[in-house]
Amino acid sequence: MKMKFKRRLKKLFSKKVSINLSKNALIRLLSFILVLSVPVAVIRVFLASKHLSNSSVQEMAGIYGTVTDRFGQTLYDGDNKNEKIFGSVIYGGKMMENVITAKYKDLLTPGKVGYLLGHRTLEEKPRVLKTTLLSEESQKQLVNLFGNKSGCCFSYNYKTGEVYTAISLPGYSSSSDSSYINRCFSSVYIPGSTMKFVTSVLAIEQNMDMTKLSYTCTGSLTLPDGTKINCPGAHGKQKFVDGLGNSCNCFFASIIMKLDLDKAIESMKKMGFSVNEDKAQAGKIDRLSKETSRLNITNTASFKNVWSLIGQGSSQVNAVDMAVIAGAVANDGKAATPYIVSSVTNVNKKDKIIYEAKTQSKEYMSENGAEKMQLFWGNAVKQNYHPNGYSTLIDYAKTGTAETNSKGSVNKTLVGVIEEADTAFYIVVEDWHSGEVLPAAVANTLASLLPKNSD
Amino acid sequence: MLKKTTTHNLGFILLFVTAILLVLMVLFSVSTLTPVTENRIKDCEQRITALEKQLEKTKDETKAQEINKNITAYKEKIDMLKNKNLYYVAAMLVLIVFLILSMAYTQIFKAPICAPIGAIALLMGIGVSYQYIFTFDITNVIFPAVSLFVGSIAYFVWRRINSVGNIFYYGLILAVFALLGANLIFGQVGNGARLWINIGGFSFQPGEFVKILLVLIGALAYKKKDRIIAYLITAVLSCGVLLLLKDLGTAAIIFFTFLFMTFSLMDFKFSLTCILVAVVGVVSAAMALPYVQERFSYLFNAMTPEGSAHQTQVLESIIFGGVSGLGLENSTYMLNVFSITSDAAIAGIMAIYGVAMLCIVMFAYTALVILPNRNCAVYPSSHYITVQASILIIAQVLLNFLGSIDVFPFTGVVAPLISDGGSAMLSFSLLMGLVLAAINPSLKKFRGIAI
Repeated sequence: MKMKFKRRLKKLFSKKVSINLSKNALIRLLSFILVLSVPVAVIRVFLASKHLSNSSVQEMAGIYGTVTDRFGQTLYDGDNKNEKIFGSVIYGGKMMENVITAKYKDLLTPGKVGYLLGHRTLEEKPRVLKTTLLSEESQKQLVNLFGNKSGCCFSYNYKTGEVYTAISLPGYSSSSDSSYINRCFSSVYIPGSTMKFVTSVLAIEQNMDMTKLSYTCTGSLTLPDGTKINCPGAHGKQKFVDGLGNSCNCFFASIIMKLDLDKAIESMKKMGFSVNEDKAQAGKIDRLSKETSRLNITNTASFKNVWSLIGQGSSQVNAVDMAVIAGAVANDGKAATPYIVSSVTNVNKKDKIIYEAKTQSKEYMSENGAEKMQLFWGNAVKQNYHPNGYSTLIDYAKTGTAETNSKGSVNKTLVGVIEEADTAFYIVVEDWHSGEVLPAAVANTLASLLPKNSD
Repeated sequence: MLKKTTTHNLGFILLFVTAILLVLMVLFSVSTLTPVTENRIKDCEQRITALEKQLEKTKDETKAQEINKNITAYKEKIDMLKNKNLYYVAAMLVLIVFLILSMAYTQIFKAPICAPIGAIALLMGIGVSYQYIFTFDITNVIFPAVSLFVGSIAYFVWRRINSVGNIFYYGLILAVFALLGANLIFGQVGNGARLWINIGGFSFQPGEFVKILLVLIGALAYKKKDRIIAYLITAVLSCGVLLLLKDLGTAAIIFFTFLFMTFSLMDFKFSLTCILVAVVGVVSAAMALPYVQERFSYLFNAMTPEGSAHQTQVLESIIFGGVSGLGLENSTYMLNVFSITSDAAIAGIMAIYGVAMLCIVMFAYTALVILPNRNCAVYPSSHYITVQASILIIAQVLLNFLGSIDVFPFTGVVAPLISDGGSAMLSFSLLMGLVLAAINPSLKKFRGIAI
């Protein structure tokens, strides 16, 4: 038996394989592999279909969702119209991920695609995403006011959280193949004197008696470290309301020097600031990433720190944050978290609501502090702003001129509240020159466009 | 005594049915795609209008030149789209005429080559109809016509040859090295590989002809020791040069046919040793090359960010089509998929026409593989031509199809007779001519002429 096996093995290794035998067996085997490639392909494709991304489905279907304004009028339906206004908040190029349609891709995808039926399982009509934004016409009016200037105009309802405008200019342009960030969410600005209303809140929160506070401005104040804080002119004797209305740097420097540093830092963190590079503050607005306002402060006596709380130095603010804090002042210490998307409905399934926003509020300062701030701020605006062309609809406002470089370039900033519309806003006009549009003009127009409580 | 099988009436019916199928394919494709083509023309016209507006506004000369270039490209595209139907019908007519002539020839001369001709015509018809979806110009008519002509010449010439002298044999080897050398020196880089040579405005791929020449060289080496050694050296060197030129696909195909030939031409023990050494050596060398490592790194990652974007596009197209395919009316979705008419042709057919058409294509290829080997060959060289051709088809089809759907690493080889590509179609038709000649060598004479 063993010998027979050895002989057979020897025969196998010494013999030349017959042409016909090797050829036919091998060819048939390989042909079988060719035929087998069909079920292998089907299995491979089936497995791949499990990993199909929402972006791919949208691109394949050519259905990206319909986005409407707060009144249900279409702002975007897959075509890049009005991209200058809406390109950086609702949609944009393929590279723009921090926009509504990208962040809500999962809810706007027209169904799932499995391998068996392919695209036949997709919905026919696009799903509808309703935003809280003002109409296209209103947004255009505001954008036209800016002209060729860059900047932003963020406004929102501090009681409900609905965002009315998130205008960012120069906007988005598909023809230039650029991706533009939205300055409302993804930028921080040197606040200029708009910071003073935040500083005022810090003082009030520390129970500083603002009614008794007074200061005589000579145009310059020397700090303990020998440096000076200057005003454009001597404002003379002022109460706090005057100091706020005049935007007196010296008055505010004197207030800052009296602040308890630890309590100030605590209040700033409560208002959403990142202090001394603390990264604990999260940055989100309705799934969109948002920059966080920040500043560094180690004492309340040196120039660098005082100057930061006045509105220059290390302070950098985000438009959304500032509007929210202003809204908290107007709303007795609490403000709603902003959101842009109010609902997503599936029109293919009898308008089934697949997402609905809910108002969420947060406390940014004490109720008592907010009420006191309302009083002083309101009086300052009546005294200094309304007589100078500001709409009487604007109840609280603070202007700012932020120096952006050593060559004298400035941004014009404005924070404010329109109580009749429960709206807080933050407006920036970048690289401003004399004769150009001021944030006040934008704010006045905004006030006329907002939905009022009396409507 | 080895016998030849004779033509049955079944073979004639097969060719007739294939001709009818091609006619139906023309009618269906033209009627379904005409509205799609009209939409594409409108889209191009709109883009030209938008570009002209941009041109009016721009003051930058460089940008103006670029815009003008784009406008010209769109105008050429419109011309192509307007003439597409005419060229497509012309190309299919060429195939149908070829089929009619083949029917006449096989009936008159009782040639047992009906089924392979039917498979070839069917595959070319599917390929032409598939190309018609995307772009179709005069070259898509000329190349199939020239290829069929060249294949026919190869058939009529080779069936009269049963052996060759050393001068011819070593001349073939010289031709292989000349082609590879020309590629190394004059080759132009495209898609990361140096595969093309430009001659008088026409580009051709020497690698495609190297494959065919090696089939002949291997087939004619039977029982001649010096020729066997020459063949082995030529094949190994060719693989090496092609790997250096980054033509991974052609190198792999030559390697697979070479493995079979060492198995067949030598003692089992010696051939097994050769195979093991070759496999270890070639695989190690290949894996040491960065571009090969890159291709393997993409394997099974198509649907992830680490995968190949090309394979992802192909898979997504097939998924979107479903089992019954996208349909011609939705075929515009695939216009932007890279190499969809060449390196991913079979996958593209699956995406547009569905699994049924894929089965037909694979059936046709299987027929082309099995049928020539079904009959006993008259000459030993005939065996090796048909077998190597079969292995070449199988390897090329599997690499093309499974490579584009992320089952194998992507290698960039075209699908025989289906893909766009003049060199590939020409060389493959040449090979098919040799295979048909191997099945039906000239044994009879008619009025003193070998037929």
